[in-house]
Amino acid sequence: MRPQPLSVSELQVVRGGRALLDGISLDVQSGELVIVVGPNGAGKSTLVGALFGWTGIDGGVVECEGTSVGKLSGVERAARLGWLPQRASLAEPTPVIEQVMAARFRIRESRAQRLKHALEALERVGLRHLAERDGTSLSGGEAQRVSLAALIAQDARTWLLDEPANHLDPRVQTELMQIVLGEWRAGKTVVLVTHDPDRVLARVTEGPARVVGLRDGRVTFELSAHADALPSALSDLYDVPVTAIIVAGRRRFLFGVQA
Amino acid sequence: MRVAVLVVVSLLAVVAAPFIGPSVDDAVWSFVLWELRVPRVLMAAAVGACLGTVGAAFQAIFGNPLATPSTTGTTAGAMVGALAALVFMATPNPSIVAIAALIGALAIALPVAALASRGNRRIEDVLLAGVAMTLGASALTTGLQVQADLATTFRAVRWSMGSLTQVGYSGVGIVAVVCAVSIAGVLWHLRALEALIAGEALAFSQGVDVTRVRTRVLVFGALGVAVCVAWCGPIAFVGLVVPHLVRLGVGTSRRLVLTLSAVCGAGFLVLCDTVARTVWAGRELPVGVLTAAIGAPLLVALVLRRPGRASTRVSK
Repeated sequence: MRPQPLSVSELQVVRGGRALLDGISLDVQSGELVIVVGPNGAGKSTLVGALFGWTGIDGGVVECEGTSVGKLSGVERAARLGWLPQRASLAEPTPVIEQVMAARFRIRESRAQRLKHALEALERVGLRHLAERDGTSLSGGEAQRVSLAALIAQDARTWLLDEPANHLDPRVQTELMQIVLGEWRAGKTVVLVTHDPDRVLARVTEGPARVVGLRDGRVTFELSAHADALPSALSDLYDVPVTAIIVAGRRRFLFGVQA
Repeated sequence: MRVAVLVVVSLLAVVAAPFIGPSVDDAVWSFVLWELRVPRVLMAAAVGACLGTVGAAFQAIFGNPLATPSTTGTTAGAMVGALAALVFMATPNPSIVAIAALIGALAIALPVAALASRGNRRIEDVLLAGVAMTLGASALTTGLQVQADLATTFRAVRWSMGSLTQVGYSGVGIVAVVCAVSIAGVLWHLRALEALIAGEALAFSQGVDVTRVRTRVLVFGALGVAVCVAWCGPIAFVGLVVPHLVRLGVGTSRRLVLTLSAVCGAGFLVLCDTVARTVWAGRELPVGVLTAAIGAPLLVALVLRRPGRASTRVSK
């Protein structure tokens, strides 16, 4: 049994006198999918930043596999936790393949090995043919799939995904989510921040999946992704009516619609 | 193939440069070659290699293709040091001017690096601190110039144009060694600099110790630049131009740009200096004027061509 991927207790992040995170406690089990939802400004991105040690914390504890995240060396941390931002931007034109190869920083290997793994990762997201292309010339959807390939290449045990599909068109969102959920079903631990819980939940009909509601820097609910109480909890979280309906045997959530 | 062409052309420039120039009598040829031209070319090669590499590395850590060693105040600090030595010493000794320039450069570069080493600092803050230090140093320079007499001011202005004029090998050895250390120290972090391509937060998540890398690269880079400026004056735009010339030549691979900027920097500065000392019969154009004449329009072109970019950053 692997140690617990993430254990957060009483986490505080204060900026400019305002508590962005105010006493968050959250445990993530191995192989679990944790879907973090909440209105804008709830502290979701701050939480993700604190989970991998980038965002400085003002109180509480974030432990990853039994060690405080702040005490891990960069290489140890990158083996345990990988991060996919909302949108990665390149500082300058760079070939796609180099961006993906760079993600294997933590691993000591030959350049040929690194190239091989990076090409495999690009293959997994269906973009091997773009390996030589300049990363700044890609569409938003392609760029985000390249970022996902980089995350795959990094080969961390737990993934932290911060609204990875936020600005993408429905087809790319769906493809991205299929890849992510495929990894989860294959055993990856995934923390996924999303503004679109319906798109995720519709594809999660079984397995260890949880929804965590965040608002004003606090956890307002934690429910199984299959719980009957989920629609009303989401409704309270966003202050909009939420109705659950069954379409093709799957539960879908309609936001802003009164039953 | 293109890499090979770039390397061969750069090396050819270095090897051929001592033989280019006005013909001289056989009686003095040996002196001109071995005591004037060869040491000068060696100095230009060392300085060009260092400025090119440090320029590429600073562009990488600042995530900004327009960043240069001047951005961190190193050059401006060296100016103050050199000018102070020129103004306050009755008979300025060149090596004391050089040491004063070195002290001035490090007096500004090290606090900037110290600022960068604090984990809670964003790299933009470091850049701004460098700019502020540069402005402060420029004010000091102006203040010193007011104190100076006409001859001193002229010497200072001449020094500030940058020159590789060299008689014998004094300084060549130390500049070459420090430049080599600087280049090696910077390239030691090659993989981390590659990983910084998509921003500090992502590099951090991939295992790069961002704070340590930027501090070390700043210190190693500033050391090399300080020594170059101390001996040759500020030779503008080399650190900016060379990485972009490499990109034009071999494409955008950050790995190639960083590793080839040394050899291309050497070739570029030797070439500029050869042109500067031969283009005007009987007189010499300061090499800094020539590099600036190439660099300034390139800078404008780069700014105009630069696409707007969106960025995401986790609050820190």
